[in-house]
Amino acid sequence: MMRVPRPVPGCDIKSLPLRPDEAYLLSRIDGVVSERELSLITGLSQAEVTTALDRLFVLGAVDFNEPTAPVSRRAHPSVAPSSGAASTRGTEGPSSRTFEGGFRAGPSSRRFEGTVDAPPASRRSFEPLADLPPPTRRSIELSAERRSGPDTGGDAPPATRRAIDLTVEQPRIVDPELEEPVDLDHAKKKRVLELYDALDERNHYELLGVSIDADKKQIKSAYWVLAPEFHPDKYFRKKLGTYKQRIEAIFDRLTLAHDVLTSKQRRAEYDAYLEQTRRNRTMAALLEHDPMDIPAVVAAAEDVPGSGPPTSPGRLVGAKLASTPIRRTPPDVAGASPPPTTPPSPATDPFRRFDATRNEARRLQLDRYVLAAKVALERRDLAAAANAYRLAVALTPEDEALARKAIEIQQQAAAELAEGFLRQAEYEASQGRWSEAAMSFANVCKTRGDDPRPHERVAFCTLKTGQNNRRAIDFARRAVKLAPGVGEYRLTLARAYMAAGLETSARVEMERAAELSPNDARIREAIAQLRAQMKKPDGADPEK
Amino acid sequence: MERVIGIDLGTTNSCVAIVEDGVPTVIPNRGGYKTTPSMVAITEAGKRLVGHIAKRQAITNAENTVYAAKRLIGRKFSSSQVKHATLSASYRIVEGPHGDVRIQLRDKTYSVPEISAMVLQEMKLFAEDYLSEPVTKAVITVPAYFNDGQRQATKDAGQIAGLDVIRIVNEPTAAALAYGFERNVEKTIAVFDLGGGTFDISILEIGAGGVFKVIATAGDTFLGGEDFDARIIDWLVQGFRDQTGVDLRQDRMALQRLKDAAEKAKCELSGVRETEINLPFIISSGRNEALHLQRTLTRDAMESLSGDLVERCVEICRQTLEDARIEREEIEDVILVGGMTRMPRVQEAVRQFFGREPCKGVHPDEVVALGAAVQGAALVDESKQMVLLDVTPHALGIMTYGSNFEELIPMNTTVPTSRSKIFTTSRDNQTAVKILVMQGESAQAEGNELLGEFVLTGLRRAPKGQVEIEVTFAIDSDGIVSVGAKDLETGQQQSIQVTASSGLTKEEVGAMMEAAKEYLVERRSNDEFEGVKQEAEKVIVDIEKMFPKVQAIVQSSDFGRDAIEKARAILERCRDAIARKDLTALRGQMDSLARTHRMFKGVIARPQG
Repeated sequence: MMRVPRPVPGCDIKSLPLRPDEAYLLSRIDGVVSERELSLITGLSQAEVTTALDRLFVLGAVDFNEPTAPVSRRAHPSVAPSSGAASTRGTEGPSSRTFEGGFRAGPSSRRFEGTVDAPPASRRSFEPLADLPPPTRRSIELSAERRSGPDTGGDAPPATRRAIDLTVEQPRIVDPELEEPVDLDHAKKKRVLELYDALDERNHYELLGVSIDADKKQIKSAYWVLAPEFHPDKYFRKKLGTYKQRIEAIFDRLTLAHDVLTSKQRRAEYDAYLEQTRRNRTMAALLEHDPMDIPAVVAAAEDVPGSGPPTSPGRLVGAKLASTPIRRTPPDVAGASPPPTTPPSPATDPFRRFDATRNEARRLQLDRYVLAAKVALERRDLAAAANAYRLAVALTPEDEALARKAIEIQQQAAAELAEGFLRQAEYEASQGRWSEAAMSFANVCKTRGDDPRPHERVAFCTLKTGQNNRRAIDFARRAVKLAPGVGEYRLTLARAYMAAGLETSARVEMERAAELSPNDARIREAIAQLRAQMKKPDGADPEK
Repeated sequence: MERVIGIDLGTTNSCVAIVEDGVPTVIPNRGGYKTTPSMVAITEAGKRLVGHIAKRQAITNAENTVYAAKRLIGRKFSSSQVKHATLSASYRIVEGPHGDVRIQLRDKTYSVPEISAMVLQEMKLFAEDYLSEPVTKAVITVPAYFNDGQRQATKDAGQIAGLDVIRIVNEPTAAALAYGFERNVEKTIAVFDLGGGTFDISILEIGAGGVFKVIATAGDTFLGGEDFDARIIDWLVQGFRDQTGVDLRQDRMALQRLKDAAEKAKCELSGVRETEINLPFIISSGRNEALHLQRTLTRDAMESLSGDLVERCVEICRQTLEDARIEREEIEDVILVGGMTRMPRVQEAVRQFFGREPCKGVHPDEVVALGAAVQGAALVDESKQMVLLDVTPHALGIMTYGSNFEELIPMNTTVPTSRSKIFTTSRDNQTAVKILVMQGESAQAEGNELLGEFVLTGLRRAPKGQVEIEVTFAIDSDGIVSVGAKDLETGQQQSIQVTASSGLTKEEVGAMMEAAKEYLVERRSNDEFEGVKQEAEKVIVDIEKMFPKVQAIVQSSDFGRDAIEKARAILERCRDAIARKDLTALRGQMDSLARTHRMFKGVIARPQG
């Protein structure tokens, strides 16, 4: 991904519940290297870097550089290479050397929605079904990008360059893709490669380079400009080599984006989906927070009493509350704490002073957490509230009322998240994005372990992907176990058996399903299909 | 840059156009007409006739005159449409070696692409005459609803005619290109194309910068002017039988006359309210008594005869808009294409359905060829600001268990596009899978057209269901479908380009191409001979006229007598060369002939002394 993280100045890193890999990643962030480069530098996978960055962002440790001033959409494609070069001359560093600056919708959409097509950030705790595409292709691409640096002027500030890991300074790698002899000039090749690689990462708005509130006309104009550029007819009977497939893929996605965004209904669904994914992601990231980390947060806060109030809790909530007026509240409260800590009075007993300061700090912090939780609750931000309560409970484990409240909110938040994943899953399923839908439904199951429906959906969607029949059977079995009397669930289980080639089991399930709902045409059809398959085992795929 | 011609290969008429100095222009044929009948005939002498001349002799040579070959192109002999055509056609339709359709003319059978190639070759010649340079590249149009087999067969026809078909374009789309070409409009339009044999409806969006995006397209490849004619023929045949008890269908020549009369009456009714159909001596009653057919057809009667056909068109429009989720109000202009749209009832139906007056600015017979030329120019000329984003009119998928059709690319998907899906093996230790590529909208595989098949081999041995194969379909902007299959575990992959079967093998097409070339060479030299012959004959006639006078004047001298003898010999040699059709010999005599001509004229002009 092309965003460029930068450290938030003044952020007290030690106070954050970081994992070592996140801390490592954080140590590499200098406001210049892009997300993709980070992956290369750290050796972490693209997905890991994305997840970690999202978490660091939520924790308030990093922020993302805003894209350069949006390039006029109309002028964009023709001036793409030069606009890219222009932004390089700015201060932004490697990522802005690509033309994508002009493509970005805006800072807010970039942050959250950029990863619509990637699995949710919560991969560690919510089980992933499918892996991200292997990073190999991307890493080649990266070298291309870097190599192209000097070509476009070589004006990356050397100082910051040196700050990056030495990989960046490696001798030029000859990129086989850019060297491919085709009837395209260098700039065009680069544009195709860059856009092609960014396809998975961009949402429809970003791809067309329009803002999230663009009207139909703007979307269409953007498409009218971009579509011809990536339509293969523009390169009629030219030698395109591997670029043909890339150009076609870009065109395909542009068209999908256009088709979705120009249909009122499909766009509304897509917008809701984007919003839902964003909420699910942040929420999952907050809730995922290992409670074991919390004492560490507290300890960190206590260890450095003299260094002023820890910024982390404020940031934790603040990140979530960003850009709302309420954000001011925690700092205000925090602002009250310096007086007791700052005036140095060397005459008094240092230990007593320390104790007093510590208790005072603890009390203030507790107040802040509880306040933040209440504010969050008022805003119906359950995740933030749950988080704040958990932190508060960690400070006063003896307060049972608080603990009960924390658990209650935690449960509510989890329920809301499950609801969110359900909506996300339904949209994904409606778009035929089965593997994503299966993953989202599985996330629903996490919270609703006793609801047969999402389990059945996982199985159903997994079957649709044609992958991992075991998993489909697993989930379908759970659904049937939870609701033995529903024919439809049994039918799904039977289909899962069939897909795995377990015809006898399939038959048994199917018969039970038929008993339960004798009038279901689908079941009858499935039985007929099964019979055909058993009779002629090679069916449509005869062995040659 | 090489010029690209655009050819509208129609069911009843064809048209050729080119973009000249940025202006799309229709190329007239040798008779000066802008359209040429898509008719081919073989005379008793074995001579090939194409176009107007074929049409003119159709009545006397009905069995050996092919019309509406487009209705048969790319179809299987066993299809119901071909069976239907076999009953009504005046020429003989027979089954080809691959279950394809062949046409028997005299002692030879021709494939349908060969017949179409004869028309295309003619159009190519018109263009070459007009441009005075050889033409090889062409864009040919087909009905939007043609399937891959029909498109491939049309491409074959082009190849046989010696054309490099750089693109097959849908007719309504081509019409829209001509309509929107360099007009810089931003509009959503509907193209209502009711031609001689097919009906198409397409909805397009024309955007800034010359982008033409097809939103939806649908149609019926067996609904057109021919069907309207058939209704009139049925009415005439029925009436005649009621009157005389004689079935005109038994007589191929009578049928051809009926056909001509029906078409003529239909066209006339677009302008007048009633017309008389008069066919004297249509058939003999069997007692050596000639029967005449004479009836009056009114526009109202015609409309009630064909009302359901118009209704079918409207129904397809309704369905198309519904599928594409477009409101009628969103359509900002309606273009009428095809000769049948001249029928007042059709125009009225369009007006009623779309709630607006159809666009009058385009010529329904020429607009398609013009659009094809525009597309051709846009493809080869990079400076042209125009790009066409077309859709696939039919869904594409593969056959799965129980003969089900698993769709991978739905209809009306903008091309180029690609989609993939994962399938698994169905038997233990299966090492190969056969992938059947199909096209169509039916959920059952049998209801769809088989485009091709291929086998992915070298699969890992494993229990069934464990080997996962990713099947990817891609359609490029040429409409060429490629299918790839990949074993996800081993990375083993295979892919093919699916070329629909046009009914002809590569070798057959090659052989037909050669035959067409030979014909062309023969015809070229024939044309040349005809030219020289005409020139020579004119001079010969002139000389013969002067002969007595000149003889009288120069007879007195030896020199004169000698010259007369020489002139006589030259005329003799010329006549001989003409008789033998010897172009070289005739050419050799032309100089001498001209000299004699000059000398004769000089002798006569000299003052008599």
